[in-house]
Amino acid sequence: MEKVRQLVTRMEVWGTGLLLLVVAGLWLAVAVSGGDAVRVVLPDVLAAPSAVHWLGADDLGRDVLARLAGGVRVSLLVGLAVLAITVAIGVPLGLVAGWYGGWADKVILKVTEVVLSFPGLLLALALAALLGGGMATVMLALGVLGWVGFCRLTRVQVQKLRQLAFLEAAQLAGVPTWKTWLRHVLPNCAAPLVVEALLVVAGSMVAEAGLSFLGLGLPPELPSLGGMLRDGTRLLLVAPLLVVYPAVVLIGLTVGVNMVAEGLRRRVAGGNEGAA
Amino acid sequence: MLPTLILVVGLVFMLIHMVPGDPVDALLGDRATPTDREALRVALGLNLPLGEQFVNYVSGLAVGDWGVSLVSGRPVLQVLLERAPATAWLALWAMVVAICSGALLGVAGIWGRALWGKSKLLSRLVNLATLVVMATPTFVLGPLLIVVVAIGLGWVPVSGNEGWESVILPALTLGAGLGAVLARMITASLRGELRADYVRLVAAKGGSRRRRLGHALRNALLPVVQLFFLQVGMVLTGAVLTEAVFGWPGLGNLLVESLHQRDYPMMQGCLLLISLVYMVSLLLADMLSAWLDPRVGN
Repeated sequence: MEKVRQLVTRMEVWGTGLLLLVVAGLWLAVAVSGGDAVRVVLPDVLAAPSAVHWLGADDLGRDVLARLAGGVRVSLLVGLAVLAITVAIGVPLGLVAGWYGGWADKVILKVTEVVLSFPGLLLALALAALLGGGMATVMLALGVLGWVGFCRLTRVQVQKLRQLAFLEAAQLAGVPTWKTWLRHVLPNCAAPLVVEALLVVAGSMVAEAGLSFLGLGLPPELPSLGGMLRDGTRLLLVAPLLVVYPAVVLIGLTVGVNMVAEGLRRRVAGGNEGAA
Repeated sequence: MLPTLILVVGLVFMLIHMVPGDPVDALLGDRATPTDREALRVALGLNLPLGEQFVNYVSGLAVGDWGVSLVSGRPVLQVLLERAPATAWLALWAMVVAICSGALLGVAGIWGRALWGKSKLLSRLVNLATLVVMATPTFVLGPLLIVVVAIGLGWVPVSGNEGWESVILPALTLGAGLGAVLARMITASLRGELRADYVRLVAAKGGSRRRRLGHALRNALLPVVQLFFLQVGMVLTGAVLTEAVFGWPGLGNLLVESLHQRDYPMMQGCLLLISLVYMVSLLLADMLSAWLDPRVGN
């Protein structure tokens, strides 16, 4: 009984539930209703919710429910791709900086400081706009500018670990450095990195939506939550619900991921703050 | 500071050269004659070697020649200075919103127990509310506020900048996120300070809860002030999107317009100005925390 009580007061449990509700709920609803996210149906322009269009249709007669589901898919895709890029750049750099110290550490730390002293999202905005929209550009622009967090976090963790006796023992036993990294160092600094990973995913989803909202992200025919918000704000007086739907879904996604991150962060920190 | 400045100027300068293909082609389209192309190339200085272009760009910046808009033909710096006050006004009110809401909610997060005995209801509510607000981007909160307050209740205009009441919704939109961040920081920082020895001493001398809070608050505010200045960058980035939502005639909208119109000099000017303000605010954060807390200094 105590276990159950602990489970329902945990933030990460609620967050996971919220994410499942949004993602699985939309996916199921589209599977049942069979809406089309891309097909333009002119007689259905701004149609009210009905058996065909459960949430109505937008100003081009496209099914809102299907576009929401498509937008969520795009959001998650961008979030995960950016995560992959930032981890691939940030973690190795942080590892090298924290492990070797010296000039490598100084150079890498300086680079992260320079990147941090720049409004990153604006640069991503300009990059994505100039290189021509499209999902790959958005992912790349956000990834290239977002690795700093991973780098600094990994660096600090590795610096802390480096002083521990078991790593010295591993080295004295003749374990190759790369093996020590993979087997001993990385698993031991994984916990805070997982929290950072969740925050990166949430941040990238918001950034992608922001770019698409400005019309500088994904091409307009691709369903994206930011693009739907953009279309919706132009029709605020006619069909305010077209803004409300993508807003609620995007908030659901980001709040869900953030709740999981917050819950895990507390556990990593020792959890003495208790449940939310 | 100086290396960063050089790097930022270099990056902004390079942006125009990162465009795949020829920026002149992108501007003129396919039907332009070779003469037109060459003329624009010379006008933009793109015919010179890259190094010379950079030197020209930097020396131009130094004397206040930030280039000329390709669309309106007006000097970039002049347009920037025209648009900057609107953004500053918006940012100012957003910060007022952030500080007021942050302080109120932050202290409420701690005070919950004082009001309702052992119950953590209020602090949990504040925690959840700030989490949701933090996770809500400006371009989501803005349209939602328009739907509810401007259209539903009809209290304020939907968009634009006419009269004092038009700043209300944009300021709320932009300030809410920062307010939530500040509230969480105040709560966390206060919680830490309230456990400190000097607070225990006040308690031992029979000081009331309010008195203890007063002592703790002064020390708890230090990281909050630091965070506030560190977050100015977030406000600036948020301002770009907020201005787009509300059609606010500031720098953010100017940047988005110039990106859409491929007005390179204007776009470079916007990015440069925003980055400069961003960098100065980071510097201020450093200096301020060194001044507030002698332990921080070098």
